[in-house]
Amino acid sequence: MAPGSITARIEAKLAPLLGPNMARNATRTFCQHTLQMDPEALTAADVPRLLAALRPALRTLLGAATAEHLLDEITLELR
Amino acid sequence: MNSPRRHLRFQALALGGVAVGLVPACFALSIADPVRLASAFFGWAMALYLTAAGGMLVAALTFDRGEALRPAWLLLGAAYLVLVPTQIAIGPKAGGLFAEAVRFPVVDSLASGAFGALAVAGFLLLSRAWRASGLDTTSPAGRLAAQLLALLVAGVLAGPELVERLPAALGGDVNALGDVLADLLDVSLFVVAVPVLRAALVLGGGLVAWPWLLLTASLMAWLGYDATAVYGGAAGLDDRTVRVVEEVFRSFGALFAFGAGIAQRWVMTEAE
Repeated sequence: MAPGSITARIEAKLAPLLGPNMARNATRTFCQHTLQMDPEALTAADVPRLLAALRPALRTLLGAATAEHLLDEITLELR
Repeated sequence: MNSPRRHLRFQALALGGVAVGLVPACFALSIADPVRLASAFFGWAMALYLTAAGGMLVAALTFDRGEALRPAWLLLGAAYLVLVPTQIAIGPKAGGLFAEAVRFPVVDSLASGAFGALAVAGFLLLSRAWRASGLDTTSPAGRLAAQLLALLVAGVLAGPELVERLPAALGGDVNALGDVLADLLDVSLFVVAVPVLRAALVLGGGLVAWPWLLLTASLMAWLGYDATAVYGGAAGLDDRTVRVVEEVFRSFGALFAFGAGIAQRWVMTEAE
């Protein structure tokens, strides 16, 4: 899997809920600020850390159960 | 299900709020007798408050205990709920329709104050949750500018009554004190709700935006209610028309609040 496509796939999973702009901003912001890496350089090994960074925001907006379901879906898809 | 279709029921919820919100205008067209019209508005307002509280309770109970947004929705629902017993005690209001003093004006002021305080607390929790989510990327300068703008708008709407009633309130008039308190809470509400508006804008296109959009619409409707009360006469509207427009805005405010609660539940169940 090309590294850049992982970011795009996570954004695509988040976009229906967060909107395309927020999905892109959230993924890129958490990559840069929390993981301190270029979003395009994200690899499968980095995904759990990115999802862990996104977890509190998703739990706030969607509740814990729904957020965990979404994170599980992303994890499964990128496995 | 493709993305545009997922938004359909949320759009229907919003449009339903607009359509049902026009019911007071239908009452005004079909009921000429001002006393009967006041009674119709009263019954309708009670139904609206219960509906809004119910919608927000649904949202609150969709979150588990300990989750950030649960107490916010509970407080917003309680704000509407507190109006029901107090308004039942006061009964139909004559304002703009015929000459009769409000019964229990202190209770009326206290109810407005309680509504404002609970709504401010609810919006404060929503705003704090949004900021704490880490998704709010607005610069501090942008935040300050938005809050100053909200303060300006709220000041324009609440200012005239505040200036008019403040001397009496300072003189110990309990009714005037209640009005001043309600005005100050209105101003606070619009300022603390600014992050909710920002959230609605930046989440645009996503399902999560809908509850925040509808909450913003509810707040805008209450702004319209205040604007009509303050500037309706100056805009050339007669007393009856001012009252009817107020009732339409009241309906929009409560129905969009109901819609926001239902939308919150739909977002969470849709994503599961």
